[in-house]
Amino acid sequence: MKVRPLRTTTVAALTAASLIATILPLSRVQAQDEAAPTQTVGVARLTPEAEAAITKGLAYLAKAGVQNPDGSWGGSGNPVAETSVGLMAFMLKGYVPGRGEYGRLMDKAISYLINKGREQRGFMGTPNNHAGMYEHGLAVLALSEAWGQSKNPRLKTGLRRAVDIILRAQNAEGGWRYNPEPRDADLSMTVMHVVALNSAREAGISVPDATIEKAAKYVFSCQDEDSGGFRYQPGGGEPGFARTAAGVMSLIMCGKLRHKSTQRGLAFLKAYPDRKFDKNYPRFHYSHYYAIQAMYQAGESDFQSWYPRIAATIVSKQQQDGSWGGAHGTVYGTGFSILILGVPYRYLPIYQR
Amino acid sequence: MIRLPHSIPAILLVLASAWLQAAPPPAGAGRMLQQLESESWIQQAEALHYLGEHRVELATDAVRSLLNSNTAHPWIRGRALVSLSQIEDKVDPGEFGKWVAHDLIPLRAAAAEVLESHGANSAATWIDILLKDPEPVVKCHAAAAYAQRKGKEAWTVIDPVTASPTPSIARACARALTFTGNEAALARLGRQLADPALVRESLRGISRIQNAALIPLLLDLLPDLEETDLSYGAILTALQNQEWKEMTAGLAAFIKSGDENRVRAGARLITTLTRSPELGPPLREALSKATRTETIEAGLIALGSAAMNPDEHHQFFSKTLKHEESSIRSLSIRCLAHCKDVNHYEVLRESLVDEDFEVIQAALGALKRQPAVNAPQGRLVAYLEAPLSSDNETIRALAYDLLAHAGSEADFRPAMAALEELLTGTDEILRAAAAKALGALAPEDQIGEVVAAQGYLAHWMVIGTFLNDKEHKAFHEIHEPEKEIDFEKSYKATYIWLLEGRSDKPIEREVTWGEGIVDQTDGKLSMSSQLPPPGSFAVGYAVSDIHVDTEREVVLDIDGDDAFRIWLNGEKISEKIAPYQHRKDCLAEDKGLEVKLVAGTNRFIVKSANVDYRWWVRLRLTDTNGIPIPFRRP
Repeated sequence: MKVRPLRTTTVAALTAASLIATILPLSRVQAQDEAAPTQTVGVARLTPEAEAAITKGLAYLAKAGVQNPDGSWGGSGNPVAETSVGLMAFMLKGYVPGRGEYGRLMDKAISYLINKGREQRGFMGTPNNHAGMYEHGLAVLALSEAWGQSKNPRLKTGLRRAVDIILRAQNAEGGWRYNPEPRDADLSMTVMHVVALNSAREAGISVPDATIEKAAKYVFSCQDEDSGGFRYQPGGGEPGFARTAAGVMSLIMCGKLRHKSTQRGLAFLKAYPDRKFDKNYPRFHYSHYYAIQAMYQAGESDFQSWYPRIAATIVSKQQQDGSWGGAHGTVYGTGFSILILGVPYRYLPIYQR
Repeated sequence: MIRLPHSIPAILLVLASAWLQAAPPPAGAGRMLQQLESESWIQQAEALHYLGEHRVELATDAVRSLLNSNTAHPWIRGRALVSLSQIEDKVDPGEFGKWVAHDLIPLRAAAAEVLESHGANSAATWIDILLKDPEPVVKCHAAAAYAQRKGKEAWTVIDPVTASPTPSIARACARALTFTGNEAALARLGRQLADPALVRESLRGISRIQNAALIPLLLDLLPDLEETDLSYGAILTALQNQEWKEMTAGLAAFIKSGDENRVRAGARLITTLTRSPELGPPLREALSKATRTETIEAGLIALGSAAMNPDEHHQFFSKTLKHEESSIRSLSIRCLAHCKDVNHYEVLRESLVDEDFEVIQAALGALKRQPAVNAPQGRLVAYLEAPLSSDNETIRALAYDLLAHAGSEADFRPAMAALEELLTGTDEILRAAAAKALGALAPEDQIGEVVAAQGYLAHWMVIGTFLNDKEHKAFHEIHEPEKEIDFEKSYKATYIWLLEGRSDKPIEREVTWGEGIVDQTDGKLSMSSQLPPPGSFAVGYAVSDIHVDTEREVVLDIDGDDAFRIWLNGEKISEKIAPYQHRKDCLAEDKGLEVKLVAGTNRFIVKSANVDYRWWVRLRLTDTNGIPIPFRRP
């Protein structure tokens, strides 16, 4: 039922999935919803518990009163971020805007994001908010992932304008920070925009190679030479798990998986003490959103040893009503939990190898 | 009761007014109000000037008080009168007559000065009175006020008053003549400005008057002045206050006169004051006829600035590139460097073989400013042949830099052939510079070649990490790989994590042998990047096998951070531990160690330890003359 034009990565991923299904004697787990396409995933990757947790989590997000009448999710703090994450959670499992059980609410979320941009000359983040540029990046990511699925005629224009803002805001070092203009930079914000730009580029929006190369250079400059971990800014602060996960994932998206710095970053993530899998690990969702994608891209063996552990933690964190708590609210926690847990679905282009 | 100085309430008022008024007083107003009470007349004069110019209304009472103070110096009182009229932007007709008729000359002179701008209907009467004043200074200021109102018609009155200027009246005279503005007045002003005794005061008088007629007079003063002359700055200030278009037109006419001194002065003005692109063509035209080095230099500096559209003049720069004076050639190169539409690698080809080092230096510098994509790919080494083999070390270093900046992988082989001699030479600075350049060009898998050519051991097998502590206890323990080298084996080892997510409790993992590559041209084997993280509190092993054809004595240089122990063919040959310094380099070294290599394969085993911060080890083999010895991988 996918209406999205198949990209080369999608084709490759689906081909790989069918090959795995043919060669290996895997049990089959199928998405049960009629509107969601069927995909075969290995049991070792997606347990019935994880599958059920995702379904319950999506049902929570769709529950009456959780999504706001204007199509957004979340409170007044960072509604654009929460809406973007919520929307991606549905797309992750293959739900399509405008179709099936969740089609209408996805449409509304897309319209909300596009309208934000129209009201603010292309900028989609909450104004005068340090998280505004994060929100903008997340919205670009979500809309890029929705590209080709949504029938909203304004999506293309809105996305182009939003990408232009990111391109213009890259600073001389190659990074981004709190303002939609080229001032300073930090790793966290830079990674968010590298991910957004790569996703937009996959969707067909023109992003110059030089922008991505310059951004990768900034990310490299944040690496701690001694440990291989990544810092918040070049030469400043201690390397950490969240920062390293983000740095590694962005380098992979820039096509630098085999680069020595990326491999050292992956080694750092693996050597990091096991408390990273604890339920109450600081910046849990942020860290593991990037870490799981990095491990997925790193290869089968790394993914297989990482995913079951983080999946078990996330399933155990789910609340009775299907939601997850999070540092920035329930929608944030629920959306990110689904995005982490559902990596094996590979319906989001960003999750494809 | 505590009495506050007058200035404090006033300052508070200034601050409060920031909230109360739409346009707050300027930032310095409070300080100037305070300065008004100074005992120094210079400071008082400065404050009065500032408060008047910025029309600080809150200062009205304080300035008026100074004006009426019989104890204040008469000249300061005169300045207070001028300042007050500026603040209030008017004069009080009922009171002003008092100053016109005052006994004190400075107050009458100041009154005349005020009448240049104020006085309304009563001004004419007061000016008439002051024009009859016996004091020349009063009369001259009155004349300026008169000329301000009457213009050319004033000449009959102004003529006798300004006929014999002295320094004390030069300022007012200059203003009177400028305001009159007829041919005779301007001619007289020109003579007055040309008089060294009068020029400073005259310039003070006219520096703020915007009048196109002043431009040629001021420009005419410049050719004879050095830039260090005090009057030079005053002329620039006066010119700066002129209308931009008039100034550009005046300067163009000035340059077109063809006189070299004028062309040079005009070029300097373009550089410092009027970067109008429309002045480029006349200047270029004038320069094409210039013969003196300093004229062409000044012209090139002006034309080469980004605001002057240097691309329009690139042919001129290319022409001066062949000038007989090397300073002109260097300057031309710097100007060309600002041009975007030029193939610099083509245009500057001949400059790289110039007889003067400075010219070559300028050419290399200019090329380094160009995007690397413009360089002749794969032919850069041939292009840079002359500077790469120059006798001058600076030139060579710049050529290496350019090679590193603009070269590509396609240039690596030719560069290696050209620079190999330096890699194997004894000059460490040149060796490092050449290695750095080659490192920038080399494909990732060929950096080892640059490393090995310098005599460093480039290919290793490494294993680790084993848990260490601050006292390097583990450095003195024997770990499994030390008992038997077997690259197929793996071992259980522990590490602690003292970064974010701290864990003092040892964490177990399996360690295996892996290839260790020296990937920087300085020859350092980075243990921290070759072994799993963290690189702190760690011990690791590195093994390198080399083959030599015949038995020979060699010199081994070892250095590392923090500690190393080395075995050659099973025999311990060196051990050094640097004292620990928290989060700092801890350099241990053992240089000039004489060792014997056997014919065939020789095995170096390194045990290296680290507490924190950088972790690396480096081994270099040379003969007794410091020349790297030939060896290969077995």
